[in-house]
Amino acid sequence: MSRPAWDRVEAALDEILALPESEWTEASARIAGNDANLLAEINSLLACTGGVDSILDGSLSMESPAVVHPTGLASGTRIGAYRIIELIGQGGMGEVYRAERADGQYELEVALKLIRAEVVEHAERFQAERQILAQLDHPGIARLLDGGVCDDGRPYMAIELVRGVPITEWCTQQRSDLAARLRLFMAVCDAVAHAHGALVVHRDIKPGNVLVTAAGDIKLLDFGVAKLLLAAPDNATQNAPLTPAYSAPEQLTGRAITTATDVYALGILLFELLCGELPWKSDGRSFGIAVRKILNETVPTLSRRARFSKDPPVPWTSLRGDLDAITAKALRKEPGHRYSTVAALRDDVDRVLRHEPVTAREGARLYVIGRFVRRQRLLVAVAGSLFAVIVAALIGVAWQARLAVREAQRAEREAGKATAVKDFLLDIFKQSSVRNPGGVEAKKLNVEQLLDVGTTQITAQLRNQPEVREEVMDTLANLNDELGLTDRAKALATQNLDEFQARVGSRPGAALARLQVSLATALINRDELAKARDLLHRALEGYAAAGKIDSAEAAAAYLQLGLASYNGTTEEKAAGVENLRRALDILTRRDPANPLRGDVLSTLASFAKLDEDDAGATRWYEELLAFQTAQGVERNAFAIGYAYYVLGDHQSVTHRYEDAERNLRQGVALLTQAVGPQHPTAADARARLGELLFYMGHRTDAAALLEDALQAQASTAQGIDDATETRKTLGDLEFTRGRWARAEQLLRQNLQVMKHNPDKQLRFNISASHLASVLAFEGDLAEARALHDASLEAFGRYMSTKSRGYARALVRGGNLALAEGNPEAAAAIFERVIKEAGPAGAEMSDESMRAALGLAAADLEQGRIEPARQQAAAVLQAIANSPQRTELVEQEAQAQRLLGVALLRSGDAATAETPLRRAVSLRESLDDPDSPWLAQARMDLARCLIAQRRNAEARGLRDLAAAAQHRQPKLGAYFRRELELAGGANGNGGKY
Amino acid sequence: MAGIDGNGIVIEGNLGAPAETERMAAALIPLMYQDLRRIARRERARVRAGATLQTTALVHEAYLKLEHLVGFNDDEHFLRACALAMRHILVNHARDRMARKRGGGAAHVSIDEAPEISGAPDEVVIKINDSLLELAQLSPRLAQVVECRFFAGYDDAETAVALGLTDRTVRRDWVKARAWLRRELGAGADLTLEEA
Repeated sequence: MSRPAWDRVEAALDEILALPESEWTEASARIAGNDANLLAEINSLLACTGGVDSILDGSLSMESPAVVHPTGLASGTRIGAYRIIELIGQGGMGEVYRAERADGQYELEVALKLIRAEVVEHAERFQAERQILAQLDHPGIARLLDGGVCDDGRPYMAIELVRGVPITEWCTQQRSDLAARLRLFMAVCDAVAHAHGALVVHRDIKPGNVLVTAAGDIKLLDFGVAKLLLAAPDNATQNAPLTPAYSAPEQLTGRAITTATDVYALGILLFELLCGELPWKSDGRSFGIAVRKILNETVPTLSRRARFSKDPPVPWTSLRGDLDAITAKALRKEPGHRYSTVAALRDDVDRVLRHEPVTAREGARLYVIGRFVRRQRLLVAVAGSLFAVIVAALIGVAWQARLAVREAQRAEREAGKATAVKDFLLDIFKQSSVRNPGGVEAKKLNVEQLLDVGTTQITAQLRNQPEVREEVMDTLANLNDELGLTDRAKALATQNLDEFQARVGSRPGAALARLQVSLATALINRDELAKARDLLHRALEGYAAAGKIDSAEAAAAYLQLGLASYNGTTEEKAAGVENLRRALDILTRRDPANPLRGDVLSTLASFAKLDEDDAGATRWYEELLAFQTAQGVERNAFAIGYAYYVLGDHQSVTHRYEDAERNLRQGVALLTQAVGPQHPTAADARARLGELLFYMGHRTDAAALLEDALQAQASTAQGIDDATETRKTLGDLEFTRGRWARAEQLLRQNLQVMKHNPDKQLRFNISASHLASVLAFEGDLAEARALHDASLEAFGRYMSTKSRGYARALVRGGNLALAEGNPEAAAAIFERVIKEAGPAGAEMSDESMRAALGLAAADLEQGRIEPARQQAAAVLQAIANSPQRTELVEQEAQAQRLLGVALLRSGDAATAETPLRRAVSLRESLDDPDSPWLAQARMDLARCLIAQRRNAEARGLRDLAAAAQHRQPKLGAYFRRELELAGGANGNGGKY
Repeated sequence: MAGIDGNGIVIEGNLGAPAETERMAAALIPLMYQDLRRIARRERARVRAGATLQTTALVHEAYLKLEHLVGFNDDEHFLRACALAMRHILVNHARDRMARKRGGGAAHVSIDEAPEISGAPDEVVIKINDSLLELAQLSPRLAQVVECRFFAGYDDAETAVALGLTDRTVRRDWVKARAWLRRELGAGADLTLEEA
């Protein structure tokens, strides 16, 4: 028959078989029509359908034709000291009988297990291990009583007979609640722990082996039997279980079986007990799929599984959190990452029952770094004793990042190799630390030197192991990247790529792609974006060629491609966002717990910010926070803290101050917990919080935080940029509080640091401009004028003269003019700002408010009292109307004071008293006790009281003011006049 | 017929599998043969009732071994290769035993190591294989379904994965293929097993 003919036959069959059998004859006739051959063919085949035959429908199986044993020993048969009663089961190892002692010595029923001879390779070993097992004496373990060899050569074991049901069934029958299930579980742990104490590993813990008696006691069966019997050397296939559901990864890949394997099985058991399902459902599908899930997929969250299951035994809400973390820790792929002992697991479960915090959730030193667009600085200067921890953490960082990418692929193999490589590197670093003698220099973590040493050693030692070397160099490149040492990172990554291509060739593939992505990452951090993009496109081609375009590794490439477009045109940025979304999509589907997903989310947020899409950025930040929190706090405190930090940071710039404060505080707490206060990111977060509190008017708290952050930031080479930012903010704060000396010191430091750095000119000039203000009040007028003019000219080059920053600088110039005794010039400047910043109507912008206050002061200087009073009153009105009232306390203090002085000078002391008192009280809440502005306000109030002949009340105020004046190291003549009783009829006081 | 010497195995009767699958199957065969012998030894004293070694166990063992070494990207590839390999092994096995029974031919597997393929007499296995080659001329897909379901012992779901089909298609294909085989093997052919 030809193929086309057959196709017709098949099509016909498809149609007919879909119909009920009664219609077949008619249908075949209809379809075949005149074609007799076709009809014959169809009919003959139809006749052969239906029914089942045992050959074609059975599966082929293999049996040995050799020794055939009877289906079971007859009742009454003697085996050793026992007499068989009946067959009770058929296990993988052999038959199990219920038996009793034949000599009637004890009324004891046992389970007699006959073991197939072939399974026991070494009789003596069997004996020895049997004796070890016999010593396992624990109420929770079915006791091994006796053993021997039958007449027919089969070994047997007599085990305490246990009547009970599997633990899962028991709990279902009893409708056990959470506490009862946990207590049962703890009893199981106790039994297993006891055996571990005797160095016996169970290896086959599953509900079928954990029975519960009628009395409610647990009994473990088949303890260590697996270990005893399968003494053959080739572990891999011997131990290969046919149902992998309860198997630990190392059991599936033939690695060493340890007590950690039992921990894993207990984890599975706990999972099943608490939510009624196994973590990995194979749906009866391929063995291979099931195995791969176990080896590669992250453990599903217990509470989530319970939540979405049809009939959970325990409400999912009571599983959330602690129990999630416990099961996750017990079910880690790497044996070394699980609970190190069963007792530890048991204790954590106990803590849940007693409502104590569980260890599984404690913050750990290892962390994963999230990324801001362009900001990843990791280097920390550290005192000697913290050194090892930091280095381990550094390695851990790069480690986590790489393992995260790798996790979807060949987890076991890579992790094994990765661990070896990690140990190697750690060793090198430890050695290097010994070479560093004590002293100040050594206290600064000189990672550059360390990495140099590491690289040299690696080149030498790993010359003959190209694969390991490639791994190590890739790690080093990443480390350098993380540390901001971008030229080294680039050099290493380039070298690595070149060597790989020389060794393996340039055919597109996954291994090459990985290295291309590493190099591209280094290039992006150096702004060599075009080259990076090219590499990334090629890497993606390579992944596609290897069929891995839908993998976490490819997602990393998409992420970098997205990052590479951050300073492009709008179209380029939009394309970048597309790539980021692709990365997110892949990770969400394929590897939802991969830390890389956090990177993608924070990058998407940054892009939204660039696009001025504040709402979008907030959504991404919130998703980032949710993601990190869901990973659990145990190893993720840093990432969660960082997520709070960036969310709070974003909220602060969008003026949601209360939310921002809350989130920043959380962030600071978690970050400090995770990596200590000295870490740059923890310091950054504190600085950010301090800045926010400053704007909210909590100046004392703000100052403390900023000083703290500054100290941490200033002590590292890499933290310098952050330190200048913090110094500027702190300088502002101190100036505003009246601690001018400290403000001067800080701002001068900034100028010193930034003086010769061409990249920092704008920042330099901002600090210079602020310093000019401070100096103006301190009386260094010449220097103030020089600094101000220079910085204003620079601003004119960098920013539009209509911008807010420029307006603020102008206002500072106006105050300088006041300090120089030139109120007319000052007034002109202020008027200009008001005109350009918008009308001083009911709603004033920040700048126009400042200018209005300055103008009021200038008016007072020139004796124009009424306009001054009106200005001050207008500002107060605007403040009262403003939705941001609470942030305008400083402005209110100034306005009240100016209003009071105007009233006082127009002769109305009584009315002046209220605003002046208000000014003083506001100042007291805002300023340092020795603040000149506070002193000034007090003096004004004192004059007001004296004008009302209340000299006695005035005295206290004057004394305070005088004391403050004395304690101020530098005070300009202009201001000093204020604080003398005779003077002070003048207005001065605009600060900015 | 190809020899099973670990090198240069030629798999007879490609049912339409791509060359890569054939290559992989060729690599699998010696591995699986080793396992076959080991399993046979291990299973020697097994009681007939109850535990018999399914062909899927062989597949599982091979899978673990290879996963360890190579890692797989997709089950489809592996499962197909395994099915092909299984067919090869089982058919050769049957041929060897038949040759030995007739007293001729080199025995590649010593007699006490060779498990009998129960579930089908050797002649039937060989006949099914021969028919399959014919079926492959008409519809490679139907033949592959038989290879998966019958020789490799996959269920509908696994067969679907191996061949990139839906479960429903597999079921329908199996009905058609089985009908064809039954007809080919002769209307009188007794395809039911005698009680062991």
